[in-house]
Amino acid sequence: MSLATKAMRTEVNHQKTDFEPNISTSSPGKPFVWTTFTGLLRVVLLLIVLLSYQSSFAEARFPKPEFESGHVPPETQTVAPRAAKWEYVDVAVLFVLLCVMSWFVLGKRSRKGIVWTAVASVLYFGVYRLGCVCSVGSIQNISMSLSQADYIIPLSVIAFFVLPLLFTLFFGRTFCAGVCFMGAIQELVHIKTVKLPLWLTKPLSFLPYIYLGLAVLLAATGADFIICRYDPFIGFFRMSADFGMVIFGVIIVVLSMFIGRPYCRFLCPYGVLLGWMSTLSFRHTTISPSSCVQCKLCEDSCPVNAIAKPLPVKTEKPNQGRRRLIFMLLLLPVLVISAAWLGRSISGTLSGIHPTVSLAQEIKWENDQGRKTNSEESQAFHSSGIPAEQLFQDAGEIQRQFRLGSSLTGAFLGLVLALALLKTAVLKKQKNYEPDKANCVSCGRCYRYCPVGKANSVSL
Amino acid sequence: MSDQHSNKLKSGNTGNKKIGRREFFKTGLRAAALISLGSATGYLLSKSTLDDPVWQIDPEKCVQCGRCATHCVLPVSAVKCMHVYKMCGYCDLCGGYFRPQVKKLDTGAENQLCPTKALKRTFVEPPYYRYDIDEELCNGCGKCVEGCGSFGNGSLQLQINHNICTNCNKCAIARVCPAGAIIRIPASKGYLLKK
Amino acid sequence: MKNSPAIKKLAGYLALLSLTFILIVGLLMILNHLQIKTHNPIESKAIEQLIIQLEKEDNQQLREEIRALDLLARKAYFSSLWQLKTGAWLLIGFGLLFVVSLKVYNGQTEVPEVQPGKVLHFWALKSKERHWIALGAGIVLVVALVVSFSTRAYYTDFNSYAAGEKKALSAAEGEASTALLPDNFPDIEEILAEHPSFRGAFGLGHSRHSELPVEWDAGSGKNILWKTAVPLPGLNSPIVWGERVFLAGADENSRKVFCYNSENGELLWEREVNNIPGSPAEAPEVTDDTGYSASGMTTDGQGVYAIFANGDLVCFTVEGEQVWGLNLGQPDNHYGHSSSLQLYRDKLIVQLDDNQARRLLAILARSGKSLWEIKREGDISWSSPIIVPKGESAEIIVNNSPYVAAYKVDNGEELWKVNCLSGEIGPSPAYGNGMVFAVNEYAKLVAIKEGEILWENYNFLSDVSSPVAYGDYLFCTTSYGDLACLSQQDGSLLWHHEFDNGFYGSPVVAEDKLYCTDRAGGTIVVEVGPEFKLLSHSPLGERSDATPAFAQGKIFIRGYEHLFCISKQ
Repeated sequence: MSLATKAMRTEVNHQKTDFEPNISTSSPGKPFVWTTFTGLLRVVLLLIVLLSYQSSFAEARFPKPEFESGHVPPETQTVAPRAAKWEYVDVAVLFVLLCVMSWFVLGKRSRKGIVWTAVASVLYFGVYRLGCVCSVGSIQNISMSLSQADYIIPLSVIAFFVLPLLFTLFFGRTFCAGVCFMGAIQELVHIKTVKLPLWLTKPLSFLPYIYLGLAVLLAATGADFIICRYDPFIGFFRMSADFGMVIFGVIIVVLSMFIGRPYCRFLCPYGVLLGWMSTLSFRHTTISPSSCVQCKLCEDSCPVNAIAKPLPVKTEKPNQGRRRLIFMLLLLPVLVISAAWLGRSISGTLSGIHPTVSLAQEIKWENDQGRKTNSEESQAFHSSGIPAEQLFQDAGEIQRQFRLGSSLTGAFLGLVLALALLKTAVLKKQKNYEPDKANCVSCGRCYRYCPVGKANSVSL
Repeated sequence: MSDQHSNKLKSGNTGNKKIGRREFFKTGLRAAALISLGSATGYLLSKSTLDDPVWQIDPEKCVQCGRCATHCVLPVSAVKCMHVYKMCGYCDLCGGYFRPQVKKLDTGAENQLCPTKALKRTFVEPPYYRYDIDEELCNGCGKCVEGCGSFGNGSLQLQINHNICTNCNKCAIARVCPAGAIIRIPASKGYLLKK
Repeated sequence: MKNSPAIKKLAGYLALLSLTFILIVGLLMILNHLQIKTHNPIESKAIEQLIIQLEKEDNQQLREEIRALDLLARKAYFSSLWQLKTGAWLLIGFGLLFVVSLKVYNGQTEVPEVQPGKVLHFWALKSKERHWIALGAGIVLVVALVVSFSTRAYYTDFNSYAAGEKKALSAAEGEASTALLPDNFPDIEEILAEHPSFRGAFGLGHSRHSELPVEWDAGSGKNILWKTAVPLPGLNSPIVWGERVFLAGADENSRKVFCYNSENGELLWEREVNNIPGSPAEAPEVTDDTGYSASGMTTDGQGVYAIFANGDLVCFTVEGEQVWGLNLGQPDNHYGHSSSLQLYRDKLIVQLDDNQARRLLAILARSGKSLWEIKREGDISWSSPIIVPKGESAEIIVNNSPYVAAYKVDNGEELWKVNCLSGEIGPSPAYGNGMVFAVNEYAKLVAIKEGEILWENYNFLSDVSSPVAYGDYLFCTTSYGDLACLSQQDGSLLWHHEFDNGFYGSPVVAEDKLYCTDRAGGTIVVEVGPEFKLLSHSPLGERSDATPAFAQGKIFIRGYEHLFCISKQ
């Protein structure tokens, strides 16, 4: 530490640089006045320093100044985070909207009511709360809380996860109808339905399961929150997002003008859980207010293709149906096991998403190459003083978690696939036009088409 | 209304025995769904807190890489430089205010480190100067924090301003922070300023 | 809801208009975004260039130019922020208008006429569904397989890697320890009889050697046994074991260790320190006050150890054969790393402070393997650890801002810690009579016994040279040229003398005399006692910031260019 560089206060500097010439005492022509001046300065300085030091025990390079003018260092101004009571307000709003929506869907059968409740939800959860936290994203908090001991989950997030599931178990997907602000946006901008062909919808409807599996895996291992990262609408409310996300959001909005709820149907991971609940729901909305007269008017009215039609059943060869069912049942364990294997084999690659593993990868590369990458990550790691061995061990532990996690995810996806195939082998006799409970989002568009008890129907 | 109704309709279609089995199966599943939801909620509640977590920067870990300025989801980052005046040495030659090779200690743009000139310098008394941050201008790049940390007392520190932060479920800066310095802390704590 | 044709027409025009606006505003925003991404005005290269130019030649016109450009840049930055915000509002507004007017234009779809079409029967539909489900699953399968196999080469399984690493390390360790160095270490008395590290054995500032010269003169050659030029600069002080004197030197490009014969100054060997795994390609930024080799070496008579400013730590045998070398990570140190090494039996003690972390490491001297490592609280320092042997074990005393702390040498366990210093700590602690003395300029001088502060003093505070405790006295030198003698018991000043030149090198006591080398190279010898008694002031003829080293009848002083051996003739 040079004297010259060590202190930064200027007169300290004057003092010190002045001192340098003393070393070469032989240097001629040094004015007497100059040395006296520096001498005086030194005394003054020493006094300042001593005075300031005796009264303070600061752990700083530069002592805390003692102001003669009586200047008092101001306090650092900070604004406290949003108070916890507001979280209760959020939960209360969610609860009220769910009640109102369920009443409009099941009691009033009012499409207008549904639309205005959706608008209210967009205004509160979107415009005012900027979209965070939402029920869709809460899946990740739940997974993380279940797997990571040190993550403490907020009460409001539990409510956001559980309330819609409960309501759906009792009333069908009234949450999706418009309490979910993402569903609401897609609902509100929808103009004209373009029907999608079966060859597109069937494979695409597998996506939400994959999304759910990945989101749970990555959140449980603490790698990332992908649902939040790839949320298409949140950027509109914050009026700022990554360029790619803006494009993605615009695409989804434009699509939802002509395709019923593209995000809900082909991406939303929470929709998977809601679908299960809705299948089991105690009550569910119906197309017809009383009994179906099979007029077929509603047949094409559903933008999300969730109206199950009665179909004629041709008699097949004897035993054909049974043979198909047995084949599918035998296929089930095969699919589950092979998908689990596939999940395990891809776990190494997936683990690279975790920051610790990718850092370990980088440090290993450095060790192998014998030079540093000088990335911010590498520099921060080296200065942290954590030994590389420790990092590698941690990475190994995370990879073990990933191996188990992605095997389970694979098994889950295999099971989903097997059950979907199994469903195609089971005969379901049906006489009336009914909502397909798993996929119906209770948007109420079909109410208008039913001629039964026309007096009740409301139009927009 | 509809439930009973559809039951009636269905019983018209198929045999009573089959419906009985199906309904029994369904009731079992419903019970299972309710029980699992209930027990999951119960378990989660036992782990939960009223003191919601918020994101904050741990100044001890922060390496001032500059990503706070570029990776926040907001147009201008919620990360701001905050000044702990009580740690400040009120230096004339401030490592946070001036560029390293500065020649003149004045407020000329060529001498200043801050790209948006958000750090203000006011004379107090010889030889002391006070430094204030204009948060409207600050974009959280951390250049001054680095300067103050390397040459001064470290009184300038990067923190997330909770008045601006939307408290994303997963902070976009935390995802890219090379030092893992952005962490969840209880809202009651709020800030992690070094004192 | 039925709309009149006029309203419908209006809605149609509105929809078209808002779509046009959306496209225009959207395009402008994309352009704005791309511009900010590629040329962020507040990170303008042009201004940087001008500022670099300004550092070379200071002129007012250039300053004005930079200011004008900077103002422009900031204006551009803030107006682009404003544009993005306004653009976003416009887009959302027009988007709403577009959707609403389209809705109005589209009106309400009429309830359709039912057209009798071809109806699939149940099993035919299910069979179709099955096909498409299988197709979807097939696509996912293929993608997963491709990803899995194409990335296989790029990821490491750290479970097996960590285990393999350990095996390799222990193999290397076994080889190193058997091949070059014996497993035994000198006992404490042997070490105390030598001068094996900075400020003598364990850094305590004492020498047991006798028959030392008191006066010399490099100009006339009086009492100068030999003098030799050191090929590389370095501020580290010489260390001595037996008839060998060791030094290190480094510049931006090379790092070397030198071994001299103490009898005649012959260079026995010099070794380049390179091929250290993990050594950074670029030299660290250091100041002239530390340089690239400020840290003192240490030796146990069999191995010699050196550390450099880039974090390279190396071990040679006293014969000059490299045993091991490793890089501890380039310290992020704004002056340059300068803490000296210490050795206790098989443990090499490294104080590795930088702006990121304050570490204390014990490295096995024979293998270079880390034994323990602790992180200390507080700020970076430039001081060196000292070792206080206590019975079968020893304590390491380290100071930084604001702590003076003691650690157990066996496992790094903290024994005590006192919050008492501040600022950028240069001086190392001193030890005597069970007391630890620590000092820093603008802070204070403190005496600590077992973690309790006994007394404090605010005069004659050093910022570089370390104090030394001997008998009942404590000696302090400062870079202003003060030499002060204090009572160890209460910190009272016994005497004080001011010299013309400041001290960077630390004082050392030998033969009941205090040797202090000043920055001009002169060595002041005073008698250790309650009164100031100057014995001599001997010039070296060149500047020196090093601490003298001692051998029987000999003193070694490193000047800026030469190594001097002084002996009675």
